[in-house]
Amino acid sequence: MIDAVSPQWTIQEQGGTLLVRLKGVWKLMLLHEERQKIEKKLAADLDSKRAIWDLNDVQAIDSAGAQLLWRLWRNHPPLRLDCSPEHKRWFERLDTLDLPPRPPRPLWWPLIELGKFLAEFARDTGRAFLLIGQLIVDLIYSLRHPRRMPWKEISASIYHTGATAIPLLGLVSFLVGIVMTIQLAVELEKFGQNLLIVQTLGLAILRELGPVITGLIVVGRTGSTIAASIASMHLTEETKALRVYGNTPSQRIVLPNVIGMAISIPLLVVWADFLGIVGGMITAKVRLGISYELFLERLPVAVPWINFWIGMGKGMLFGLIIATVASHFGLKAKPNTQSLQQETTNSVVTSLALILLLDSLMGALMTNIGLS
Amino acid sequence: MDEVQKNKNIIAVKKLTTRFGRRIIHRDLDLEVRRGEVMGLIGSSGGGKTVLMQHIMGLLKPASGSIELFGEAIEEMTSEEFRHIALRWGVLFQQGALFSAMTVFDNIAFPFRELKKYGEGVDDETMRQLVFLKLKMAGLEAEDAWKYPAELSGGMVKRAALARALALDAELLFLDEPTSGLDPIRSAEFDSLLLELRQEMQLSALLVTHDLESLALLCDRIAILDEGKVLATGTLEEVARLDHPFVKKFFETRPGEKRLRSIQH
Ligand SMILES: Nc1ncnc2c1ncn2[C@@H]1O[C@H](COP(=O)(O)OP(=O)(O)OP(=O)(O)O)[C@@H](O)[C@H]1O
Ligand SMILES: [Mg+2]
Repeated sequence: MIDAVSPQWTIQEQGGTLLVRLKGVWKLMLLHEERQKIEKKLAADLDSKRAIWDLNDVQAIDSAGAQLLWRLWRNHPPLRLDCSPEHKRWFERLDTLDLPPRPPRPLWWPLIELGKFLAEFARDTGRAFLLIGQLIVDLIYSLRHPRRMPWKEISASIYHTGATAIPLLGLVSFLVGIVMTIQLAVELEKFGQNLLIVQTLGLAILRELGPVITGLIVVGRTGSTIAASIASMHLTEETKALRVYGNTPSQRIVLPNVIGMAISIPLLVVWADFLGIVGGMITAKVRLGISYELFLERLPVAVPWINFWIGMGKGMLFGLIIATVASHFGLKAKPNTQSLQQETTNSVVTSLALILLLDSLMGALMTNIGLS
Repeated sequence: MDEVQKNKNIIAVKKLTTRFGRRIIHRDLDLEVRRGEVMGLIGSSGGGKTVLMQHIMGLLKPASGSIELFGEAIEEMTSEEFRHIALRWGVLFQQGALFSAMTVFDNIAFPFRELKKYGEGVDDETMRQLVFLKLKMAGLEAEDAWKYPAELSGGMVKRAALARALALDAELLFLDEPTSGLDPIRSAEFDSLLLELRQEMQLSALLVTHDLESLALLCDRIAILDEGKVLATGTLEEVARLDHPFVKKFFETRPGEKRLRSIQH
């Protein structure tokens, strides 16, 4: 600093009152320790006597410097203050300063919070139904005006949900197929029922694991992205801009994603089924000595086709759920980053819960269908 | 450059070149801002004023060239040194860049709280007073402190951002179009606030503005950015006399002003 003249002062006694002369640069904002020292020392020097202050020799003063003096003066202008008009502005501002407290929380805030939560919950449920209704309306509208169908967005959604998930989903399903077979092989060998692996593995993968693994991966990859991207559109007021041009977020984002997922997830389920079974087949050969021919010959007999379709149906349902839930939470987000985080998390948690809940429900209801 | 010269400049940009992909934004640009000076920066929209400011603040790395702040080259600083030096400047971003999840109060308190993490800064009560002081200086009501950025008008966002830029009494202010979006009364208030602050604290500033009033009232010198270079720097009178198409258009009496005058007389 070129103007590194540190804060200085001299004190003279003049018939009962003190005359305090300040000098130097009183820029104290970034001088942490020095500020405390100065305040202590100055207070001690004053010894709470009344004083006249002369700031004419002060070169510069910042708000922290002014505030320090102001506090020494107990938030009142001193007996007399001589200083340049521009420095006086600090004290005038401090003198007329309002310090409204943060709006306090009333004592019964837990009740208010609870009420808010319930109201929010009710409103959310209502909004979710509205969203579904809007979706159906949009779908019918788009079907009747195929030119206004958001084709581009749908294909983008299929690409982002489907195509880009292929490597990860393939790897996970393949590994699950292998691990399942290794585990089952131990038990089956004990009973000499090696061939039963075809049936068990096929059923498990086609009916349960294929669709559920796909669902979980899509929730993590795409559901969160949809929620976050819609929520961030509130931040930049893009949702409003869409409305201005006669478009709505539900038409441009929700509908394409719902349709896109309803198409891409079943296809992903096929991919997951395929690699899961390949993984199982290879392991069955190594671990249980079942040849590929035998495995492939037994599979259609032991596991009726209906199981494959059940899995596909589940996949489509999961797709609808993921897209709708993600859109719902994205749309209800408020325009700030914290709400964005929160609603993205909420969307993932809700999708996962719904998927697992529905899967177990269907599992319980359909135990007798599709077993040979 | 000798020591004296070095210390005279608070900002010194030398041979700065910026490229985005194959587009060149700045080509061997030089700019010097002296201590205690308010430098106005004008230039056509999209000419690279904001990008230049971001280079100077170390937010964006130039393709080549050197930048010195407070007499020290920023490329050679350690991150701790940079943190310390960054405390000495305040920034008002063109879009405000307020933290959307925080109230206005917490936005302005943010720099103080960051300082506190390093055991520096002021105590809570002082901070509260200073936050409200800055809020008042920026022309906001005390009650606005508890609003969130999404609840503010465009001009209020600007003023809250100004309050945050002023929070730590920076010696050097980077102001990117501080008065755009304010009504003429507010922008006049802004001009006089900045004038006062200059006298109170020996402030320097780099001010991007298209407001002739601010240029005339506040700026000691004006730099004209065109075609990737600083065409000229000088006082308002000096640059207004330049024979250059952009400058001529810029300072030409605006048709609206002419018409207004003819109505008033
Ligand atoms: N991150 C970026 N990537 C690519 N190009 C960029 C980026 N940021 C800025 N540009 C380009 O650099 C140029 C200068 O931008 P800049 O924001 O500095 O303009 P400006 O002079 O501040 O204009 P205005 O007065 O409109 O704010 C513009 O052409 C812009 O398109
Ligand atoms: Mg700009």
